[in-house]
Amino acid sequence: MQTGSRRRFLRMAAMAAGGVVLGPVARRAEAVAEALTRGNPAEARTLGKTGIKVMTVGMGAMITRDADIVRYAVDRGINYVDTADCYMKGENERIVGRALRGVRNKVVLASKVHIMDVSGMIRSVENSLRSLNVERIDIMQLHGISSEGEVTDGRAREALQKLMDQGKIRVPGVTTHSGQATVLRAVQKHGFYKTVLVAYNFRSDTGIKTSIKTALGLGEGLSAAIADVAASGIGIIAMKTQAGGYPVEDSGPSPHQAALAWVLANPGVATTIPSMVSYAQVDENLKASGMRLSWRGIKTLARYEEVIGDRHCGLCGECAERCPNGVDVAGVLRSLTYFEGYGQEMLARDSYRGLGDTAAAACGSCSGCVVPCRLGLAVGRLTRRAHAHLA
Amino acid sequence: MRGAGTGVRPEILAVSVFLLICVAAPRASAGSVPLLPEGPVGWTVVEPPRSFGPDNLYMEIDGEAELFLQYEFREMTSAIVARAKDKGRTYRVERFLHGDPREAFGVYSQHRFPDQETVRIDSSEAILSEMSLDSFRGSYYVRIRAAGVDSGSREELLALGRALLGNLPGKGDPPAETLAFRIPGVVPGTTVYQKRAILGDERISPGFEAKFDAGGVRGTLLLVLQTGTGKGGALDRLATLPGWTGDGPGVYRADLPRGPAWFSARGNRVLGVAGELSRTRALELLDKMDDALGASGR
Repeated sequence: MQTGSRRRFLRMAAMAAGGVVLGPVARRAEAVAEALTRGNPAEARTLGKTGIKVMTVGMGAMITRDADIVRYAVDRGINYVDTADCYMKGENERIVGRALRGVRNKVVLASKVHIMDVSGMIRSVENSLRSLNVERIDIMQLHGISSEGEVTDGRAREALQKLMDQGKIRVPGVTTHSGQATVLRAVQKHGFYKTVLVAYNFRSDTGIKTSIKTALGLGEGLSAAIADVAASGIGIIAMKTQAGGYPVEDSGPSPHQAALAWVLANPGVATTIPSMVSYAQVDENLKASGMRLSWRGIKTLARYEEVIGDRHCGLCGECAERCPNGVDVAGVLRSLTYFEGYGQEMLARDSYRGLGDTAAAACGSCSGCVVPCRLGLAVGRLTRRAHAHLA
Repeated sequence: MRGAGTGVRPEILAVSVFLLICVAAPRASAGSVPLLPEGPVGWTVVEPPRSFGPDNLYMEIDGEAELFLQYEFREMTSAIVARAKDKGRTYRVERFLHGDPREAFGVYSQHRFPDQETVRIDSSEAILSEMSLDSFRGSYYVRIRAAGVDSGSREELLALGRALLGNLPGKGDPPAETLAFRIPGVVPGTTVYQKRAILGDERISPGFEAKFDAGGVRGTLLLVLQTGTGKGGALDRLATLPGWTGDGPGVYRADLPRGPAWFSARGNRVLGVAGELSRTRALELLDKMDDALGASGR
């Protein structure tokens, strides 16, 4: 064989061999990329087998004191609102009821009842109907369930069945925030309940990496339970989607939007109920509906996870001029965030050294920090850490 | 005169012991205040207290944690208590420690609504119902819930509230800023300390708000706190926002999503009035708020 021909032969043989070896890898990589960048093409999803269509971003009204905010959210397309008789000592249902005047038929309304005797549960739901000023509640959820025994509780089933027969509720569901996988499986096994409200966010299971596995049907823990139970026809609503959540300046998707996109990348989740107490929050969260979980979003979440893992500064500025020793607390914590949150060491050191006399040198000899923080950060501990790393 | 056998002067020994005690003793913190006073108070803890911090509060109170975290939340202690003599009805007690009294009031104010029954427990206002009591004292917000359905007693709730609050440092006076709302026409139970947004607008927070309804005029009275953001304080910052225009000496009109509002800096505070009302009426109310603050000497 002549040299040129041999080279061509070898090249072709190498390509053929490479295709055999690399083909599956390349296909897997392509599948991963596709799964990660798969959009949430439909802004609305169906809540299990209930037939109820819900927008992927709903509203948790638990801490919303202002009916105008609820109404603003509904007017902008949010069609799932969650409340409970025990929120704000009963006032929250009245607030939601006021907000929904004239638009009741545009909203899937969910509330809650605690396990008690049959007549007590029926009375409680009827109180909710009065507070909400509605004739029917769409999803009535047995509240705070954590065991299979509670899922099979006969009193609850009897009460909720009677309420359905009377047309006062449409669909029974449960809420859970402990023993969640157990409750999900129990609902799947025993039937009756059509929806489950679970606490689910990018810090569940093994964190952000779970999104990749779940997207490929290889999820674990709670993510897998959600996907599996949803596939059997149970409607899943996700709460605590923000894993905390506070304003962080960044470009691209905000951490809150990325957090929602992460949750909604699990095909088992029909809707989410993030809290909203301002117009800005409503607008921010709405943009996440239909948002794809992009690589950029994942990177944002990874950074956010590091940041909130130690609850770094939210840059609100309230601590300004509060240190009696003149430490620029916000500046120090910003530097620490660059270092620990964003991994930008040079920027962090430049930022810290630029603080000059207002850096945290004084913190090492201070007996106790008196600087307040609305996020509850251990300010003194963080400023001393910043000084140790960046001085 | 030296201490017998020690070779050390007694006064030096005494001072040394004193200093050692000061160093060794754990610094007293508000979080170490026992839930119930010592001695016979008629109540006993039937389930051991549990404590939660900012990172795990949600595990105990779920999404409601988000509300508390806004108000410099430090620690929550919860326990089940009952009457010591018969351990009949049980009550769930939650005691939340916040950064300072204003923050504790803020949390309380978020639970306060106009139609609720309130009582006074010494210097603290408390919201009372058949099944629950909420109040604040110093940097603490306290709430009590009857543990079982239909099992609460107003008398027991009051007695337990008295025991819990009496054991806390500080007073139950609302923040000084709320004096601005001690004018005729303010709707009782509507004064709220907002951290994140006022009238749904994040830009005019943190601060206080109260509903006003008198003489055919309805609106919201506002007091925006000066914060460290921007030079010159809150009003200078706000005045640069879209929709804000000067409307007379020291007065700004803002076109908020819910309608017009007028703001004016008075001393180290920014007062505001929002609602469907004339500029003249708005300025009258601003003056009244300012007078109410001034009359208190604050």
